[in-house]
Amino acid sequence: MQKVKQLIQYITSYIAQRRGPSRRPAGRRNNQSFFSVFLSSLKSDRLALIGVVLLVFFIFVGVFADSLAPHGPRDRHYHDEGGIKRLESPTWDHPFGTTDVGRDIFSQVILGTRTALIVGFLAAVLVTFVGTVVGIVSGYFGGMVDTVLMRIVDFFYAIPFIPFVIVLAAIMQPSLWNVILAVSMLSWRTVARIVRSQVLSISKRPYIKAAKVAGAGHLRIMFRYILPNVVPLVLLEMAFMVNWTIMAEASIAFLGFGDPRVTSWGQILHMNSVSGYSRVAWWWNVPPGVAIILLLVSIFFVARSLEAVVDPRLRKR
Amino acid sequence: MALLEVKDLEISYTVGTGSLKAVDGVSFSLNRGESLGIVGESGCGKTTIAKGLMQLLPKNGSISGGSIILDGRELVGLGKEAVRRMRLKDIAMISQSAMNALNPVYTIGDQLIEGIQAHTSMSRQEAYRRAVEVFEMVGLEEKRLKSYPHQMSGGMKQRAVIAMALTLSPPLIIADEPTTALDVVVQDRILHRILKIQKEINSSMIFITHDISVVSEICDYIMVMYGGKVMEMSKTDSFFRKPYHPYSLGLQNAFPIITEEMDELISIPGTPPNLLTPPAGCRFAERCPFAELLCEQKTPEYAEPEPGHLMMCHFPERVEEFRDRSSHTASWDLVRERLIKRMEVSQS
Amino acid sequence: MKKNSAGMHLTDSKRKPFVIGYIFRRLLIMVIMILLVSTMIFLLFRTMPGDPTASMVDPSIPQEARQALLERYGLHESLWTQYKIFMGDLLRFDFGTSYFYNRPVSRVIGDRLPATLILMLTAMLFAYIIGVFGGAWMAWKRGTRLESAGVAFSLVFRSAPTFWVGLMVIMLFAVRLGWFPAQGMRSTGYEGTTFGEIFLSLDFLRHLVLPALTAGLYFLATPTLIMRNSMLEVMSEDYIEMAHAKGLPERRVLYRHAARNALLPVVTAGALFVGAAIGGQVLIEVVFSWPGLGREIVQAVTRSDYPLAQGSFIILSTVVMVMNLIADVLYAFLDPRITY
Repeated sequence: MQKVKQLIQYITSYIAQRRGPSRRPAGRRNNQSFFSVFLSSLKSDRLALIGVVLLVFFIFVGVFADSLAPHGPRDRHYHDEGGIKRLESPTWDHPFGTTDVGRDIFSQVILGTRTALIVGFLAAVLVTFVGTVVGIVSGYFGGMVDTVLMRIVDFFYAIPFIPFVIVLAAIMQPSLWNVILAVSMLSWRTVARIVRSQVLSISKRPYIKAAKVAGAGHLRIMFRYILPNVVPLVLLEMAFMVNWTIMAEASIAFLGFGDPRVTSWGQILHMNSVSGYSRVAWWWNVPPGVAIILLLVSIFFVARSLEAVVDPRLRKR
Repeated sequence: MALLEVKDLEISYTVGTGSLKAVDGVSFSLNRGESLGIVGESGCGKTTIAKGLMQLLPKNGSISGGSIILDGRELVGLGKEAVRRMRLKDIAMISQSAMNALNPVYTIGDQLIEGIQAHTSMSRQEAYRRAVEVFEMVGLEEKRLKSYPHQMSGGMKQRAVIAMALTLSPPLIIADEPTTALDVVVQDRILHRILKIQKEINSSMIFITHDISVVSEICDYIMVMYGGKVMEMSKTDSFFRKPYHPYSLGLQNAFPIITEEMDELISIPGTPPNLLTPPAGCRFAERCPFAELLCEQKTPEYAEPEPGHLMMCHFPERVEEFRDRSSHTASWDLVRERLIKRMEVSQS
Repeated sequence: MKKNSAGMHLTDSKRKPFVIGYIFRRLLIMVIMILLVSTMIFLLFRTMPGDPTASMVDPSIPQEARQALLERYGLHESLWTQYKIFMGDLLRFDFGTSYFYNRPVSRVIGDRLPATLILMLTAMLFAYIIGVFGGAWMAWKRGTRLESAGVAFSLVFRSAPTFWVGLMVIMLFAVRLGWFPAQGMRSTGYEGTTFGEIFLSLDFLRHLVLPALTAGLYFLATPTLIMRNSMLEVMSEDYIEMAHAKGLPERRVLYRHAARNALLPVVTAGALFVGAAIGGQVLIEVVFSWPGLGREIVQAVTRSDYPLAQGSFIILSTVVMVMNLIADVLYAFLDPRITY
């Protein structure tokens, strides 16, 4: 609890520093926390509000997917007279219709929500962790360390993402973990580069120099003094990474290199595509696609207003 | 007839739900070849006047009243194209932040030539020759025309911006704090160059600054602004001999002239009024060491204690007393105590 | 109008030799990078846990036949020997022989690469032209409903999976409306032999429309949003006010001064975006059965045709690097502050 309070305080002081007194609208007090700034910006930013509502909805669906899904993802459904419910358009029993082998698409989409959220958040945490550490070390030490690390970053920028993941998926067993790993291996570079440039400017601030003069160790300076200043940026970057990995997982699964045992939105679309019915069974491929769009858009909307809180000039994407 | 005639100029900004008058009833006139210095703290409306004359106000600002007559032509309400033609050719501006006033991706020469060609039918060669001429006037070498802004020092950039203002020998030049970003030595050199050129080409100039000593050196007239209104206006020598307004007295004492002996440095306590809710009476009353009840209730009329010397105060006749008292820090300390007391009262 | 067409061309002639040196240095770095990427992909295929040859030659075929295959492809040699041979071949542009096509990999890639490049460049051109103007326009309309709609629209397309948009586009424009062909690069029976016959024919262009539209919509959001933000930032710069104060026409200030500077971050981001763009390209090629390198690499991996997968991967990386290089050179050309 103490730690959380500290974190909030760091963020607050960071915001205060970045925004400066002139940019804060009149009537706001100094000791405002990051989240209340964010909340108050929600009131004026309708897109962000929509984003938050949608995101909460998706998280709810993801957490309670097992109870919400009316059927198992692989259950086959039969008509009373015994025939398989093949490619049925939406009915009351099956709101999103059925697949060519009589599976309930509605249940699959609900279960796919959980997969998307798990992959998105786990990979994003991994990516931001590695990226942040590399970025801080690189920006703080500079010189040779920086040069070497940034060359490595350059190297990873030269690798085309999806082809690499395809090759990797072919070599390793297709599993959800391998997908997360593959995504993480290539994506940390973006975070590293952005964090580094932020650290470079922070390192020039007087209190960092003061800490050095006072004899604080490298680790202490990096994690006690520099890290708090990049936390808001990292949170923002993490939001973008969640989107990136959800999209990547869907793409991989769509191409058929995903974990065959796990139901995901990409996999639903993969099955749709290989079934040969992708041009007629709109109830089969529209729902997972719309789900992906809504989830990603909601995260974008939230991130955009986070961004306005952190600094409107920081991002370039 | 005067070159520039400004009458009852009002400039308003809409801020959030309200609106404020950043410039409120300002009038002055300027003859060809003369220069006027506008001084005041930041936020007093001096830069807004400059922007208003150039019609370069930000989107939430507009001229809400009064008139600006340049060379017999009304500028308020002029169409877009006419305003465009007027800029640089009739009124040129030397901008406040010359450091960033040049586009980083074009050479200085291209930026000068572009301005010339936007107003004349000169060929590129002719425009280039004109650029070389103005560069000579500001003391820059011809080869600098081929430089990009990042290749030049701050002083050089400032001179390039001045050169830009001179390209079409405009009848009126507005210099908005042209030297604030420079170091003192360079500042001085540039000021004198501006002054010399202004006399050479016989332009009129409006010189905006917060530094009253600069005005004493280079301007014929001075106008002291506070909270969007003119507090005092006169010939420079008359002003520096005998300022009348308490605010001017404070300003003058805050910038002591080195040759005069003075052991106390004055600062005026408090901050300028919030123009969203302007005070009912004199704008300066809150910070004035001589303020009385009348001052807080009623806006004073302009008085003319000497011919050509205007001031806005209820007590022009008590000036001798004010002059004496204002040179002592004790009078201003009184204001500070008064402000603190008021703050305590309003908080409890 | 005055003689504005004379334009801006007082430049520092000293810049040119530096640019050439810079490009040369960058090319050198690129070659090193390609060798590193190749090494990485070589090791990936051969040092994975378990039997490294399993991913290359199916372990379920009879032992003797398998051994023969391993020897045929040189997989029985030591890792180091294999690497020396691999790199030696690579320097001669020899990527081995495709198991599936039984043709040199370089020939297969040579057949597929033009299709990929044409689709990608068409889509990018479309996206960048519309994005730059659209972004500038959105900055201009700041605070209006139109602008919010533009932002929301961009974000939705940024969030829509390309392959899904492809499926929808096919369902709507090819199946329901029947305006354009759904897949492939040419109609059956149409045989072109020369480049012009294949890539400049009306038939080809009709096939190009849907995949290029899908890819373009995917690429569009990035330049649009960056241009908008960067334009907003630039418009508050002092030199824009100065340009107005010079009495320049509104349009000239907007395009010559504001947009010209706002373009710089778009170019930078464009360079970083190419890597992601290739991914989208792969998916689009699969959805539209576009006979390009992206679809080929997916098929090669599915068919365990590892020389082809390896070669395609190296070439795709090279495409990314070349595009990066072009973006960097373009940037250096656009921004005089860059020192080499």
